[in-house]
Amino acid sequence: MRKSILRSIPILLPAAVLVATVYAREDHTAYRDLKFNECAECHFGEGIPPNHGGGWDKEHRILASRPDAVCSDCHDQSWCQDCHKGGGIDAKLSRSQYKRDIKPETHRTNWVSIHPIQAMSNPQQCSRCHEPKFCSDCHGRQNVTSLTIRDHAVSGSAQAYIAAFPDQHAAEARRNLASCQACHPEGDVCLTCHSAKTGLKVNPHPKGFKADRIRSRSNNRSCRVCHDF
Amino acid sequence: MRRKGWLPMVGILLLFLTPGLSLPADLRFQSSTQYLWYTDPFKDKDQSDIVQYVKIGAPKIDKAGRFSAFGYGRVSQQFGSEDDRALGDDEDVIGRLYFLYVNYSLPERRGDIRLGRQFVAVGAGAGTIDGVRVDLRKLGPVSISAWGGYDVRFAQTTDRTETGNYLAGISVGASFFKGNNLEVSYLRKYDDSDLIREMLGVHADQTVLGKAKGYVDWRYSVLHEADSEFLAGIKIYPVTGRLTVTGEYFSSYPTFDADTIYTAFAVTRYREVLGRVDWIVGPQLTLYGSYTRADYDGPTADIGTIGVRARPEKVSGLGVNAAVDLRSGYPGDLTGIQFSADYQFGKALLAAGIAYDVFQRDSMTDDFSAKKYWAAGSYEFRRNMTAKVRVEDTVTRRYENEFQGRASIDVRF
Repeated sequence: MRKSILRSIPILLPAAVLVATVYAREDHTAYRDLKFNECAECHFGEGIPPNHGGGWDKEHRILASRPDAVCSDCHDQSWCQDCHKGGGIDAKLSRSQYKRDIKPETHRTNWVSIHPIQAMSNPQQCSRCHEPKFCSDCHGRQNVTSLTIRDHAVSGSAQAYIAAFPDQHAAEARRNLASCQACHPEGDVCLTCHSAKTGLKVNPHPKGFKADRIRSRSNNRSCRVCHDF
Repeated sequence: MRRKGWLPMVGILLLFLTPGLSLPADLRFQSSTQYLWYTDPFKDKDQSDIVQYVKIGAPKIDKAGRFSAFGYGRVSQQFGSEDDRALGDDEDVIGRLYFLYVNYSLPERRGDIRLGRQFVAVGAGAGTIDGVRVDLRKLGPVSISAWGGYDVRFAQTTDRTETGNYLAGISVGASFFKGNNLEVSYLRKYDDSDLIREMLGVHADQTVLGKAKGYVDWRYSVLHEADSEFLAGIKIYPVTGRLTVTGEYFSSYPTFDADTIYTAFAVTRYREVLGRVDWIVGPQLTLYGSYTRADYDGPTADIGTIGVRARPEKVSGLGVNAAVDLRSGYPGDLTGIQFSADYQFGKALLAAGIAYDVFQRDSMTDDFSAKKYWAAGSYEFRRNMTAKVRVEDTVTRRYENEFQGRASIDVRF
């Protein structure tokens, strides 16, 4: 085995050097101060596929997460944090704000009323920038009687779940579980029906649910809420 | 923000900026002092804040240029009477530290070692850590990035780190032949020393002759033993650099951190198919349009966008943007139009825009509309000093007029 490895080095080493030489990523630091349309000389004129197009707000994730990403050649981290965490040191004039945070342009006009459509659309999109606590901090302070929520009706000073159509609730909760979490961050209300200890003991797990890994690696943390061990 | 979390990092930065070492030959400083006014949505009362942003950079601390340091943060205070502040949720001065780190660059740009608060990302996930990151590049065709530290969690008024909350990741990328990129990554997230998220990421893409690019991106939740996200797509460049046609399939199976019971709940898979065209007609005109068919394991939605960005040659300094968004289906309908323009003349920039949305969520019985009007301007009144102001009025079902805005003085040297 050792001899095979040693014999292959004279062959592999030049090949690796050749590969590294030919396919080393382009250093963009020299272009840092160019205007955006000046990037066209290479990306349009030299046949290099362009990026930073209209869908860049979704597409940049894949390129930016590469270990050899060239983003830092032109952008410092404030560029990332300003959009992801509401910073505003270089806020574009076109960007609106929510209190002291500057919002990305994807958060349109009446975002407070429109965001449920987006939040329930692609379930994991919001979590790219917001922790679950961001949602529950706001939802926990609202006057819940002013809200219109599927399968809920105003009851006194709160909202009560309408149990008349359990299948509808199940389907809706499965599609938008993060929306449930926004108002019920700990899932306490879910235990009324879904705990294995008390209540209706309705099984909330997916088909073929594999509990062993979650139990062993997370120290039974979430399992203990519903199950006795 | 916990003040104790600041001190070690500020100490690290000061250590490298003390007179004991050579002073940074190139120290960059950027400041933005902002006054913001808005309507507090909970108190239904006008509020205002003073916010101070500071960003510093020392790209070359030592003579060899190996060491550098960068930091960015803000401090804010509610402004006005004691009653105003008492009604708000931010009576005290609130700080937010976005990043503050020292970086050591290996010779010949072969890598970096970075210590401090920083934004990190690999294919398996991203976050902000107080820790260390090591990048190694030019290992033949291979690049490696590994990082770990305290997981910094941003809430509305805080960014907190706590013992027991950690985030760590590693990514190995390679490019074995021209136009090819491969990446395998792994991420672990801890809360109170319990593992709550474990992700594997795999990415591959291949560009062919500069005319087409295929890509696959996959995130797998190791903890849940389930595909979390899957993206497959192709981009075609029939007229290289001018026309890009994109087709994508995306699938998302939401997985939750294992510190909540939601982690064990059944969820359905979201799927979408997207088609998009970006056409750079010329240096002054770009057109784009997309259509998405979304499937929620039963109900569906159709989402479309068309837009234009123009910089007319005949009016130097003018830029115009317009977009129409249409959405029909689950979980709501939306029709929206946005228009904005900006005009640069000398040291001044003027901008304005309007937006109009009509929407109806499934839980609503009627359409609702919202309009937003905004205008803004900036002026470089001294070299490296710019004044900016932005005002906005939003008309919604709740407010006939909801005014907000900001005024700032930006300094850069």
